[in-house]
Amino acid sequence: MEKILTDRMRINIGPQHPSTHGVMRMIVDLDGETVENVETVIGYLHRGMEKMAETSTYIQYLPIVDRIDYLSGFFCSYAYVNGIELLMDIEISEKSKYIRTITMELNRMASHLLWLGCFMMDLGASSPFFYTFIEREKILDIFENLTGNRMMYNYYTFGGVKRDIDKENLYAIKKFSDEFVFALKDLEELINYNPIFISRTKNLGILEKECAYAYSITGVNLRASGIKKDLRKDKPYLIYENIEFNVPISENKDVQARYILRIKELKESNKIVQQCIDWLLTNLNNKNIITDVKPLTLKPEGIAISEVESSRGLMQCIIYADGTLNPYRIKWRTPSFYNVQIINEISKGYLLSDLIAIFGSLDIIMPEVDR
Amino acid sequence: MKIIMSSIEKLYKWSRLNSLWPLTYATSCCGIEMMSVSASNYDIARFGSEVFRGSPRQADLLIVAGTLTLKMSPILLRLYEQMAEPKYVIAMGACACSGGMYRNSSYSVVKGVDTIIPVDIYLPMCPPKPESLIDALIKLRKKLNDKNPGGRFV
Amino acid sequence: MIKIREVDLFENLKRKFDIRIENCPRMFLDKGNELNSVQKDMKCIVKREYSAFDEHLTDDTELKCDTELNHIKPDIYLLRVKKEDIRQILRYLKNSEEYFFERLDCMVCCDRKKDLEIMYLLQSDKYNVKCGIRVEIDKKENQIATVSDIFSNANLEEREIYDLFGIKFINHPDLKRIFMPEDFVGHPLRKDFIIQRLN
Repeated sequence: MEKILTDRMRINIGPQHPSTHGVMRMIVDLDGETVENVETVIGYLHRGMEKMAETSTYIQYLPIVDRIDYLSGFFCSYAYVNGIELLMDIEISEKSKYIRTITMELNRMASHLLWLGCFMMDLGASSPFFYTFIEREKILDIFENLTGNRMMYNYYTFGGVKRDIDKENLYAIKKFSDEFVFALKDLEELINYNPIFISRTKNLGILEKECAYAYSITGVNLRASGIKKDLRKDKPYLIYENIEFNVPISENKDVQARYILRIKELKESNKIVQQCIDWLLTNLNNKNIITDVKPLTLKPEGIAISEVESSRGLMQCIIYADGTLNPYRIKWRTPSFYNVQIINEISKGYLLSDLIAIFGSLDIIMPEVDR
Repeated sequence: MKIIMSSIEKLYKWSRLNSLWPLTYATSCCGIEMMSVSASNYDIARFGSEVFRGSPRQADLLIVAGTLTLKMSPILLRLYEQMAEPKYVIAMGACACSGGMYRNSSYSVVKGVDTIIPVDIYLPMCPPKPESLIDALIKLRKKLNDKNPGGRFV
Repeated sequence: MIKIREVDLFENLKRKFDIRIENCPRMFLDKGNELNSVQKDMKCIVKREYSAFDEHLTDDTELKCDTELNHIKPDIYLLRVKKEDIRQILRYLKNSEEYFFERLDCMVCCDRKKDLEIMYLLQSDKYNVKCGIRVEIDKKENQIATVSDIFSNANLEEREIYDLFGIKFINHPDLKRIFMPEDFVGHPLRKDFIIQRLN
């Protein structure tokens, strides 16, 4: 049979699309249906967060920080507050360290649950979306009782946390985390051995080690390529030294490995939450949650680099402070900005529907990219 | 003659307003609350919005959920012009109503969606709870069911 | 984690290039080894409008906004190098057996009033060490060589710095604006792009 001559086609997966997880534009060169080149255009959600810091005081910038990554608001808040505490040499109390840890781990669970629902919807399955949102609503109810809002918490402050955590909240968290084990088992039975799911995610989007180091990838995407690196174990912050948990890694570098690692991380976070609850229930009389620092007239001086392991990777906040009421320059190093750059490398030669599956497995969120 | 026309008008108003299908447009944090509304805890399918359509030719409600920036505004205008009449707009969240918390000190956020497209219902809060989005949908239906719906064509 | 020997970590580098060490972590300072003194006397006047509760600030406030910021927390190495040597230094730090800094975490650009400054943050996983390398760029001829063939993630970072500050990178494969629309005039994060906050 003679070979049919084909031409390359250029199509546009526009900014408004149900599966781009935000506003991102991809210009794809196709040969038939195989992908040859992907160019990504970002910047549709640039709000100028870094310039806003130069016209506000340190305490006025605190509610804005939650919106840099709205699915993990506690992590961004912690990175900023920790930087100022390093510069001013402020010590925080033991109870506020435990409260910060338990809220951050619950936030990681909520973020991974939302990722799972949207990833399965990209592949075409719409039932897991409803199951994971039921669990997520229970976590958001706990946060609403504790802080007052479902998504933008504004709960951490310089020197500790704003409100104490009481008995009813702790019992609600305990009940949730005991029942979560069975809910996760239901989800795994639904998805893991499905032959359509396996054939759509196995041996796709292989990320090699040299590529991961060259583009400075961190988080689950790096651990799925076989490199064991987690900030909670390398340079422990808060109280991660006293808690037992594992960091799972995998040697297959494909989409299915990233999915399995995130499910395992959900289980590990559940273990951490249960250990923190036990400590908090035995120390209910301790009311020491904040050290008094005068937040309205803070004047730090110097450069601070504070980092935290967020649900998508390593997040850093770099603060240049010059001894006045306003910061001089704040820079955010967000993990999704680097995950966007590897889409072109790992999706050459696959079909167009595989590109959507690969893009969904990297867990990219656009306000982190554009700030 | 008027009796026949008014009862036909009641019939098609009832059928149109009880099945408003929104467009999947979500830029920012309010988009997550829009997804929560379509999930099973606060269900918007009971109020008529059975599915969220992906293409603007098939949708008749545009919920602008999220911040509008300089680079994105020509695209929003193009989406609005591609939708077929009759079409309605809800501005969801503080950023879409008036620029929100970025109004005073940001250089690239448009100060409100109504500088570009006409808006029917404004919904404040940052982000609004899912119950308030359902409340906004019910208020839109009440507004359009009136004798003179503010100059709009139903 | 391998422990580093307790001598000056960048001794070899000092012999080959002209660098100045600005911050040395306390555990590696020998006795009698003093850091250079810094100058903190550049002031400038910036006009702002504040709300009523900041009663001790007036319209023409003299603010101290240019300091040689060398006080860094946590304690890491800070070097200052010349802008012509930056490619050789980064390649040497990445590939040599002795240092092995595999990752460029990020590039931070800052507008001090007299010039611009870029800081490259490097991270070594093998020795668990971080170091910051600072380069000064003159405002009139704002150009510097690109490092996107040494570290691949510098590609989008340099486009962001070009968009927000106006520095041109020589031999960059694709230098165009990334966050602002194509026909935007001005570079937003510079200090002379003033936003008046009204409330």
